[in-house]
Amino acid sequence: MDAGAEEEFTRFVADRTVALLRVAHALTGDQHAAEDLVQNALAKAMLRWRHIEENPEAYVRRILYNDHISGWRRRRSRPETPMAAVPEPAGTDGTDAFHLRLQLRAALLELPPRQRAVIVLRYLDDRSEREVAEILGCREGTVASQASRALAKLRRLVPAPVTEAWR
Amino acid sequence: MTDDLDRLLRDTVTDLAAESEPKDLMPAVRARARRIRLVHGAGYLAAALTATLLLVVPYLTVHRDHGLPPVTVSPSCRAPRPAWSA
Repeated sequence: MDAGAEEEFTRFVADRTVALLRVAHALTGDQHAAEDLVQNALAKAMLRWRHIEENPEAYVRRILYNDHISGWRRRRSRPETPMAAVPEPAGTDGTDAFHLRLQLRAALLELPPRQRAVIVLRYLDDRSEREVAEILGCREGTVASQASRALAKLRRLVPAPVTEAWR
Repeated sequence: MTDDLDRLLRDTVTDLAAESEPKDLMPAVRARARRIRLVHGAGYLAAALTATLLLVVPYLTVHRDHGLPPVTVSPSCRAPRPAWSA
């Protein structure tokens, strides 16, 4: 990599690391696993910089999602979430928004990597089914079925008062 | 899915993303790129070495000079002509 390309790449990393770490954290639920994922994606991008400098962000994000799915750091794919105290279960009236979100978060982290990637792409990146399919390298039908399975699982994992509205 | 759940799921994913802490990853990225390049280089080297061995070893086995004289047929060793051909 020549000096100009190196400078460009360094600028890209400085500009985009925060956004990439956010996506990776949403995927893994763990800071260290997120850093690993982003480092790996950026290192691969660095090696192919001359070929991807037209749209490096798309390339890096594609690697990020696909590495996550392929279980590149499988041992960290289901991290524990450190908390100061064990959260109380949600009340039966389902009005405790904080607890609901904690439970939904735990349920999200229980999803298999591909389903979590679909949810993150849909709800964090606001991608359409077609775009999700392009990024993950699969068909739109697969994306739809993965999303449907993910939501079905969330229905099972999150208590009834939360999911009543989903039916 | 209702709008309520849509919002709840969106908020939860956004919260999860917001928990990430910014960090300068450039030194680690450089080190990892070097490692990946090294692993790839070692892979290419191993492949080249394997291909060379696969070509060279059979060649040497077949064409090795054992120090024996070339096989020739001496006139004195010719088989006698059959009687009926005289």
